[in-house]
Amino acid sequence: MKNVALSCLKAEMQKARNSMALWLSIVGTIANLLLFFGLHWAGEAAVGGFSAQNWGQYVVNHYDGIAFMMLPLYVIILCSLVFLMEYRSQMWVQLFTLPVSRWAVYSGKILFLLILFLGAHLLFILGFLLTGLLFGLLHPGSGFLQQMPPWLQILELAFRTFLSILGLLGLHTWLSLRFQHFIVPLLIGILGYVVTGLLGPAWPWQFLNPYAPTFLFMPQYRGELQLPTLGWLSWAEWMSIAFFILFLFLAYRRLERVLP
Amino acid sequence: MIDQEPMAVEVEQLGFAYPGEPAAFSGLSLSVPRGSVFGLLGANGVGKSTLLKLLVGLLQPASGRVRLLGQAPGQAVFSRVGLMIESPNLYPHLSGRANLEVMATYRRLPRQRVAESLEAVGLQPAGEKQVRHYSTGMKQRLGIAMALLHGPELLLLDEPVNGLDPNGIVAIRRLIRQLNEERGMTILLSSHLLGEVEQSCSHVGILAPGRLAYQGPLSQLREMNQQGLYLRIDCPEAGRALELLLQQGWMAELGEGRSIRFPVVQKSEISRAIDCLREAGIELHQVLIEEDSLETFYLNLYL
Repeated sequence: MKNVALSCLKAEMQKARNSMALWLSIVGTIANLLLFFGLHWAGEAAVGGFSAQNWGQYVVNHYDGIAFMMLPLYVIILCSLVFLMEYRSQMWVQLFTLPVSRWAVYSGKILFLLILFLGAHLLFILGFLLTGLLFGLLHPGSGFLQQMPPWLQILELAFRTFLSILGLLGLHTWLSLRFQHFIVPLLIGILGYVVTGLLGPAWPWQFLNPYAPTFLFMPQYRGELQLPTLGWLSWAEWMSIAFFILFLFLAYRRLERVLP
Repeated sequence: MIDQEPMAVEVEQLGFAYPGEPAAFSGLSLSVPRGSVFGLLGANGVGKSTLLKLLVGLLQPASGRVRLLGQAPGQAVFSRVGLMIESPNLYPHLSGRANLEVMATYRRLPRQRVAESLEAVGLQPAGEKQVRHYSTGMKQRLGIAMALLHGPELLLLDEPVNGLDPNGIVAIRRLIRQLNEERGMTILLSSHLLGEVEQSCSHVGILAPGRLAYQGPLSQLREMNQQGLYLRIDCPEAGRALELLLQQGWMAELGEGRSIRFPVVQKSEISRAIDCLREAGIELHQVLIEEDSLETFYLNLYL
């Protein structure tokens, strides 16, 4: 059973070679890093010199930058692309006639999605650490070379980012399987994202919105928003986990009924 | 026990309809003997791909039973069955070799099988090329390589020569024969090309709308159709000629104009019938031998 699951995950990794999902993860992350580096550079230049920087603020700025738009958009497109690989060439015919269960194929795919996200996020972290160091090298007065990066803060933000995307990932896995189409889930995602933004974090029913957690975790981290918590996690993070479980279940039920 | 099963594919009383559509099949039964190359022949849209999907459980029948190699379609039998349904299912962003490697990983097969399969279909030189740059024929061959990857006992191929040039068709035909003769593989292939089935298959099933009009050895079908030999004689005294032929035991009947048509079982009867009429002083204007070909038989099913 364990071997079957590992084979399915390995097969997903092999499919990723040269795929749009992989290119999106790499190029999209690097493009974000370059953009944020440029913005910091321009911002510092605009205030007339390179002041002593704070690693902590630099890290928060990066997470603020992605959480606002790039993160949800990346997850939405990633889900669509990963499933597009299968239905574009009717690969379900091959996958459903393998001597492995649909559940094993499905779990391999979900694990792969999570690993791809985590890989891209690791690249993002390494990237902003490097750009921070580059900042320090180019402008020794900026203070980056004199301080250690805030490892615990980075770990916490990475963890909360991961939790916040789970519900969205589950929802868009289900939508991708439901519509077997690239554009429809993307449009639904953009609509969901815009509506969430318009309703704002104070809307009382926001906890029922799977698009909300990626929107809320940074304002809460910065202390601008007080969400009820249960243990170490806010309700938005708990709801993200709940949406992840619910939609992955619905997506699997959908996959069972997919007719190639 | 499973190995003693004489039929590679057995379908009993199969019924199926797509939602909101009339029944595609009702009470359809099919038997594909082990070791045969079985051609499922039928016009476009008659349901060949649907039937193949029903065989492997990609569609669920409303009634009836399907057995592949003595087992119900499912994971247990899929390690013994290879298939290519509708069109070759391939990842266009990967190379031919990488496509096979993905499937080999799912099936937990040694890498050596990938090279063997590529070689079997003659695609080794193009193995590293991305599939999006493959020609139709190359995709078709890669689809077959994917179906062969795990050395199946039963191969299901849907229109395997579709879109191929004459060289490609000959190569696939040779491969099918080789797989059947050298590896003892049972092959069920669908086609709308009568000539293709006649040249590649030992057995044939003719699918007419909603039913299987014939199934059995191709040789038997040929024999049946050889019996469909007719003699047509045009003569001015058609009435007298008809009477005479009936007296001699031929099942003659008046045809169009002043012609008589009757079946003959052996070709020697032709000269006997002519002699009989000439001896009676009947003038013959034209004598034609008409033969019902497989094509006529096939076409008649759709009339």
